[in-house]
Amino acid sequence: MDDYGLPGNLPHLNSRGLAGQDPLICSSMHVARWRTVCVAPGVACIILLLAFATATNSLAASGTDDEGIKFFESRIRPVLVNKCLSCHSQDAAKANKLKGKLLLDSRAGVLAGGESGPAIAPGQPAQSLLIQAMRHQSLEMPPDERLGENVIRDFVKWIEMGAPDPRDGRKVDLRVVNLEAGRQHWAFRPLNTSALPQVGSEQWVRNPVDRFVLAQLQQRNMTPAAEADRRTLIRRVYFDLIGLPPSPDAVKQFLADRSTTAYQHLIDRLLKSEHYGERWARHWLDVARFGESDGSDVRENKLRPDAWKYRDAVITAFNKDLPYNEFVALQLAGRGLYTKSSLAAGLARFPKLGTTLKDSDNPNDKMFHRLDDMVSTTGSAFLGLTIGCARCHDHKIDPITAEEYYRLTAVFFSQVKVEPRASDRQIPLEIREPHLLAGGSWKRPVRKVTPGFVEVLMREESRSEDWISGKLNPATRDPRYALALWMTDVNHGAGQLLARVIANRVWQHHFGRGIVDTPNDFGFLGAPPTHPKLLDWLAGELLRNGWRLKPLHRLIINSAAYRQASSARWVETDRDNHWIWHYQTRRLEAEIIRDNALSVSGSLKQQMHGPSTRVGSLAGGDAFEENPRTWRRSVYMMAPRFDTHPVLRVFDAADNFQSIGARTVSTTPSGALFMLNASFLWQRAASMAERIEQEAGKEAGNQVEHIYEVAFARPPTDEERVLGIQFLQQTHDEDSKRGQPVLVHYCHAIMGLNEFIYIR
Amino acid sequence: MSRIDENSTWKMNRRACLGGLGLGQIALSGLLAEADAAGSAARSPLTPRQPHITSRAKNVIFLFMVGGASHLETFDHKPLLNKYAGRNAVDLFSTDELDGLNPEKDYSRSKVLQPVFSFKQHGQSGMWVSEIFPHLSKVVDEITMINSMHTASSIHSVGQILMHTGYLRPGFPSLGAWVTYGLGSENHNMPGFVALRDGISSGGPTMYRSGFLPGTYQATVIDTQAGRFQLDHLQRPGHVSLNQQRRQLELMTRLNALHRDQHASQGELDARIDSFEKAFRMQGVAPELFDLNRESKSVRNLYGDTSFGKQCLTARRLVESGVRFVEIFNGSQGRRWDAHGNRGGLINNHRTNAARTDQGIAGLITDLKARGLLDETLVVWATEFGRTPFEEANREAKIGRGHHHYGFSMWLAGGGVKRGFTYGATDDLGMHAVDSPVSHHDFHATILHLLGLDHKRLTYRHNGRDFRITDVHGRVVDDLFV
Repeated sequence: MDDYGLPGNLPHLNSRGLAGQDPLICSSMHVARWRTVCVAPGVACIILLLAFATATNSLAASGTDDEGIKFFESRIRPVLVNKCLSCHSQDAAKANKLKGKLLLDSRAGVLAGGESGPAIAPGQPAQSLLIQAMRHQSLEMPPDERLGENVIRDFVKWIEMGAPDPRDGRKVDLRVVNLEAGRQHWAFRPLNTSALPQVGSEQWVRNPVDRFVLAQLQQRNMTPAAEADRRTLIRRVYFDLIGLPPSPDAVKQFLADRSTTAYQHLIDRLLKSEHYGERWARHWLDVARFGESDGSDVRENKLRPDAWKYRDAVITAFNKDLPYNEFVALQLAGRGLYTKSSLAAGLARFPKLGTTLKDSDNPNDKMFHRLDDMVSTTGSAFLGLTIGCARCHDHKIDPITAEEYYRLTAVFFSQVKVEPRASDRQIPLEIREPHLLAGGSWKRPVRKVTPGFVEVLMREESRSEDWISGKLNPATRDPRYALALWMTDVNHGAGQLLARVIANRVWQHHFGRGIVDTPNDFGFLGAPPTHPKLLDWLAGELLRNGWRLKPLHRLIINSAAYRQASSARWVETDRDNHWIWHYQTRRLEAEIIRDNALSVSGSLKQQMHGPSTRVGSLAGGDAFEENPRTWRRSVYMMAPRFDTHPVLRVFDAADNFQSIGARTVSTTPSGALFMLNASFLWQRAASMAERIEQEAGKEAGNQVEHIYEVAFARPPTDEERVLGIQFLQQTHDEDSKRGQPVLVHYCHAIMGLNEFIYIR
Repeated sequence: MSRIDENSTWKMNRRACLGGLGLGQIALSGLLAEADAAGSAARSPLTPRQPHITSRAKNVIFLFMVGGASHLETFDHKPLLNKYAGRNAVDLFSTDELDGLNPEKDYSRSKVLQPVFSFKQHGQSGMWVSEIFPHLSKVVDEITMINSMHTASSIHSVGQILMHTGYLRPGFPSLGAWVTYGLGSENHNMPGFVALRDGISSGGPTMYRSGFLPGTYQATVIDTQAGRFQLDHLQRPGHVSLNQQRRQLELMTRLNALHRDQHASQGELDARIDSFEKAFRMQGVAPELFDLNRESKSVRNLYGDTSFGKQCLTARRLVESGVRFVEIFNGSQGRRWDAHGNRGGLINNHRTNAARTDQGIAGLITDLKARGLLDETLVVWATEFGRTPFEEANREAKIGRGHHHYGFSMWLAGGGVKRGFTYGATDDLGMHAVDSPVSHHDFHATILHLLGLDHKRLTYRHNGRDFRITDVHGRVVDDLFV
């Protein structure tokens, strides 16, 4: 640990076992949003459209004006009583009939409003939600009848008068987040440590992973597929662990090693390769919304020249197998703790990797955009929780309150430095201390908040203050350090969910699909785990191995489940392979497709680490001209937001504006056109042809043989060999007139094949 | 909810197609044949789909004026501004109203500015149009004018993103992607959504990307800035002949089929085999589609000899060929409609912009109508916001107006909307949309409705939540429908 400059003062990280755990967690779907609302299907909820123009500062100074009160009593109150209070009063709340968390039975309730924002803006009827709703413009209230224009006019007049209202009484706290119910959600319960499942036959079982998989298959009367052949396996594990194809020599060596440990040794060798870090860092960079520009505006997309240091630190962390809890802690706790090493300093960049809001000069907007990005990404990346959804109101689905959201913004508050631009007018920063905001708007601060965490993830007797008070480490009361402590605290904090989420991500990248199919959402709306006990067992193994990921890779890759061949046996029963009855063919990621093309053509530069290489320009198309300088692995290509290499566009690389847990796989003609015509691939084909000729000579049969070994780690079948030889021996008049030898065309076709970009 | 099941169209079975054919019998010669094309289209995610409700329009041509076209100089006639001209903005409007606009600007010393162009009523409908659109004035009887648009931001990038995705931040699917996702495309040789842009505007690619929707639905982008009307990578490299490519594809099709037969469960592999066929067909079809010389001289003259006119004519050709959604960005490079005093001044700016687009727009409407395509094609003229009723207080010699999202004008034509109809109004000074306001959400809901899509049912599950373009808003403005 000292290697990394860690002071070793995260007291709970390694020392405590799993005894007495019951961490309780929340759920997620990460949609970081800017003054918008997250909603469950069917739950009505409206934003105040004119939020920018809302005025609440004239808060009814005229509240006790006699004439006003008289008007209220004669014209307003009767309508409220007859038309509104059945759904919008404390009585309604008691009867479980309250709608939109809006109370109209008190002055405070009217002014505070419900989940859509304040009901009225005193003095400004046109901007009062209540009036819009009565006119059925935004909301439609009352829902089943439109009140007469004369009634609406009365309300307009009342609001113009400043909304005089003699009623008092406070708006009660309507927190409906139910912690007890929330703690029963599968993801928030303690890790299940029950015994390994019993299976009918032990024959197939290589390690405990297989017991969980087989038990589920047997329950469904399904059977696992046979083990894949060695050539398939070596190509699979190469791409899986290091993202590069095995060389023909490596394949030969593996085939020649008849010892029972050949496969384990292969895995060990790959896990020690520095390419492992390059491969697996890329998975994490998606989750961390890593980009190398501020990403707010395509015209002023300012580059961040030092952002690559985060990427390098992640690569190093994976290669050194830095315990995941420390990996997380270093990203959250940041400076003030571990600035000694470049690894620590690099990882500490995590909170600030996100986009900035450039198009507003209002420092308040900028600040809350940054804070939201930090809180939302922290929730999605580490905990699989959509904490960002609690920005404007308590989370609709998961047990996370707006108060908790704002307490988390308080943790990062010191991180947010606003850099005001020269402008006509200097707008003051209005919120200088962390506040709970109504409706997500800094124009409506409710009260100050102190740093704090998500309560449903704590043992019942624990409080955020336990981590913040300095009890665990008297040296610091930095709230970011406290967040790191809480996040990684297996016994009292979020540590067990943290372990589940990363165990799922590791599984996801080995099989193409997580045990939880929504890796960024472990909440109530996320997909439930297909193998909950397996997930918990894997998370437990992670903890038992001191949070190191490499043992987890070994476990999974050595399992019989992982070694299965692709099959069609149960495709009608389980097309998407939820029950892992075979190894599902899957496409390589955009970056790996490019790396593969560079690798088989012998062009890949082994230049690790350091500043990113800029490839191409904003112009798109073939303006992304590559040259030997750019032929590094794709993880080192500069990742300015907006401005991406065509290979990344056509093969669904992650959009680095927000945390991405799982990429989509789309198949488009644009992708095919890229494969057919892009100069990058034609150049690769030319290099590959040169390499093949050098290594296999000029005879067509040998060339075909070698190309298959290089590109697919296997010899061609008879049919494939014949087709290849026929293609290479064809002579056509036009070929002699055109520049490229037919071998180049053949290599180019090989790189366009499905087998080139899919592993099985 | 009737979320479209991606898998049902995505995971298709190619075995049926290839299984019966012996090696060597799968000739690429069939690739260009319509029958084969129809066969693969039936398995594609762009397969035409049934709308939720009866549709009035089939296709969309979306014209987007980048930079914020002034409603007060185009379609919103406000004679009272002449009377108030010179009055201080702060005397007429509240601080909140002024502060809610572009945060970069200080309007405390701004004065009301009269419309800089004269207005006349045109057509049988008597629709008001300013003098800078002489061609458009002649087709106003085909148009539904909305004078009560409003959105939530006076910032260019945010306003542009709002108008295209319904959300304030980059990363959400654009309207064209939603429409293509909902309806598929009728041209299996071409993408369902094509964007013709003249540079990159501040809202960036989010305006035509598919966000979290599958990439199939993103626009295929053609940057016409350098007078180039072509898709990326459409051109075969110079050293590859058509026959060479055909032989190469034939080999790939055979080898892919062999590979595919070992993977019975993989619809994706089939889709990719199809994508090559489609790409090959696109190479054959697209250059012709983009070749405007195939139009008669009189038609080309109708659209005018401007880049925008060519964009419009291209859009018509694409829509005619079955492309579902074509968007034209006008003035991307430099936000050309952004009529500040320090950007050439309002008069010069809008006169130039109108001159550049007027004939193309009118030509498009006229041409679509003459071909009987206007009924099924919805033409949309949109912009990210309008402009302030008052001048910016700056030291520039030229006058300009600021960004203004409280009330502005956009219009629709064809595709089942009323003809010669004006809807909604701003107040007498053009400040707020007061009569029948239409938000960007309402606007999206209305366009989807015309296409037969219910904005509340057109959803996509992402990160554990069903998303729609209107989020939790949107009102279908059915007053606009025939």
